[in-house]
Amino acid sequence: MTVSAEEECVVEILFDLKHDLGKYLVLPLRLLPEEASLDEIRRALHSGLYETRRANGKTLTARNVWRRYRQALAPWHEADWWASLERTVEETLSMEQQFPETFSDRDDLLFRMSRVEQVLRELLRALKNEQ
Amino acid sequence: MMRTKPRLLLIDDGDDYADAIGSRMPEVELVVPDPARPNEASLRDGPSAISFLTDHRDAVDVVLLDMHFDIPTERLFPLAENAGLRRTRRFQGVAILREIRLRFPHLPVVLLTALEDLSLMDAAEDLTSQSMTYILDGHDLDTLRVRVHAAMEDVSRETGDERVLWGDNPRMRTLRRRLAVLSRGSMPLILEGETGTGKSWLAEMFVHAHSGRRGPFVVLDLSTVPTELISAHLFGADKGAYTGAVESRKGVFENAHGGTLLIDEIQNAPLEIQKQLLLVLQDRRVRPLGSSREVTVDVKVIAASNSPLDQAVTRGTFRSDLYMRLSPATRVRIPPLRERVADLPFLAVRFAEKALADPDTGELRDEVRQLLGFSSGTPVTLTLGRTRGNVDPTEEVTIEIPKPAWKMLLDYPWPGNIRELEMVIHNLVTFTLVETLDAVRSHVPITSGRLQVDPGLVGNLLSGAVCLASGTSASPPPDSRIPIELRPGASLNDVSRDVERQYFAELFQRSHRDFAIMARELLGDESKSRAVRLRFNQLGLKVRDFR
Repeated sequence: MTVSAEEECVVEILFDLKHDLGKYLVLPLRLLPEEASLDEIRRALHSGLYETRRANGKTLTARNVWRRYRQALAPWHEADWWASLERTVEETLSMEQQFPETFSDRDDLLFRMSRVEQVLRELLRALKNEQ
Repeated sequence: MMRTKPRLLLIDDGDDYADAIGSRMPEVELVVPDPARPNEASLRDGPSAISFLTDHRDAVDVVLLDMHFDIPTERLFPLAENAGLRRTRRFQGVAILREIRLRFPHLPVVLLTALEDLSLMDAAEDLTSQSMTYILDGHDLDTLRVRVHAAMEDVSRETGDERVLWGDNPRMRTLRRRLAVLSRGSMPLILEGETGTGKSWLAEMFVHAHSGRRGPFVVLDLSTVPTELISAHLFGADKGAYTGAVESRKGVFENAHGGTLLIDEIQNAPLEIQKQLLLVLQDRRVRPLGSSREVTVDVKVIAASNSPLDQAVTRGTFRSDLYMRLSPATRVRIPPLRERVADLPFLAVRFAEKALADPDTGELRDEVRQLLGFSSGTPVTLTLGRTRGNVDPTEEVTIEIPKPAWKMLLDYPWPGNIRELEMVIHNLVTFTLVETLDAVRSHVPITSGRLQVDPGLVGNLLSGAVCLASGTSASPPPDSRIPIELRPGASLNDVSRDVERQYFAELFQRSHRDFAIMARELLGDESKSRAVRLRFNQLGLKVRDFR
């Protein structure tokens, strides 16, 4: 997985961000059974945040992934959508510090962990409609 | 026949799904592509997948296919002419699926992606309406279970009724694609089509199956419910709500919660009931008769009618607001058989195959093969319109419908549509086999496997004047027509047999329980009473039950 600042279109970068971060942040939680224990939920949350991408023997945390994409998206930090995206990602990445105090139920946690993916999906739809 | 455990082949550049399925879905078996590496339960790219499937297609029931592949460039299948590298990786699943479809059109594939993400790329519509292609759209194991189950059910059906129903012409394939799109989710659907076109079967086996809804499939045929009880059947009733309501009962809307409700013959609903239906569709709540409570219902409604609903609106017998709520944009018209004449050869051959696979007719087939000196594995096929010049009559048994008889079938208007065609073909096959046996036992020399269908038999079957009334129980009409009650069945074959059984039972009674008279009525020839009696027995009818 490589991200390059030379990428010609922001849509391409955002698509990849949605996959590399948005999807993998929440996938371990999604693949849990309904009856998962609190411990299993905690482990899935940890996996989503700290074992987000695994490739070629390396493991990247969500923060690593975000750092790379944040850099690639530097030319768009003044865009009107940037602040909202950045805020959503930071809120999501801080989830584990809040767990389990703010944990109410699995569905609520799933919803909150999938916010990055959803925000990016909406952003891409909006950008696609503009093109 | 479905295996106990579906065998899933995973095509994915990561291990998340393999780990989750391996540890949490014991009801499926993950195919291990390389026995020397038992811990690797995924194929990592398209070329590996195609190579494996080419050699091991029979070892796989369902493919799970990821969409995004971060793999070396040389292992990527091309996506489209101008697609860049990132886009090719992002939608590599589409390119792999294309290659799979070229080689294995009937292999079920579940795409591990969200519907919303598909809508962000072109060709999304094509994917969602593709036969045997399913979108996971949930990324959770429960949704995966539902998709795998639907795929396995579709596989077993594809070799049976569904392939027969859709035929083989582009118009029906287009209809199928449209219906696949409209089946999704909870939007209502209007199915229009004459009696016998397969609406009920389509509603359950296709629309509900492709809807992704987890609740049950429920049917209410308004033509079988007394008018004064329609409301109770639809919305439920509390005990004592009306005379005869000895206990509270749920209506079909409640029973179908989370699933699909087919309201058949909706054009028969009185206007007052239509108004109530409109309110339910708008508010998604029902109030049982005699009750003060309201129940929330989540139901996908299929409204079926054997006549165009827009014409009923014009006549004033169907509410325009209800029609609009049911969404005319989702109206699907199943064409009658007479508009699908091009499908007749395909359908006739398929129905003949089904008839020959039927246990009772199969026995006749085996007996004919044996008496004519053919081995037990000799194929028996139907040919239409002309003798197949390339068939060696000493090596194959053919049941031939000669040109004049085939023209009769082509010209016939088929008021009973597919159901009627199936019944006629089944009878043609059965009677031809019986007549062959009769001839052999009467020492009539038969030197080849070429068995000709008697054109007179075709004419008599088509003029048998079966009246396919919808659910009425009136006394027999004064003319020679026989009223038949259409009842739900698990398959087209079951429904056809039930119709034929009713017909034979009634005709037997009218023939004073005399098979010779029945043969004269049915086939114009009293001497064919044995054939008629044989078919009578095959339908499960017993003479002693008519005494």
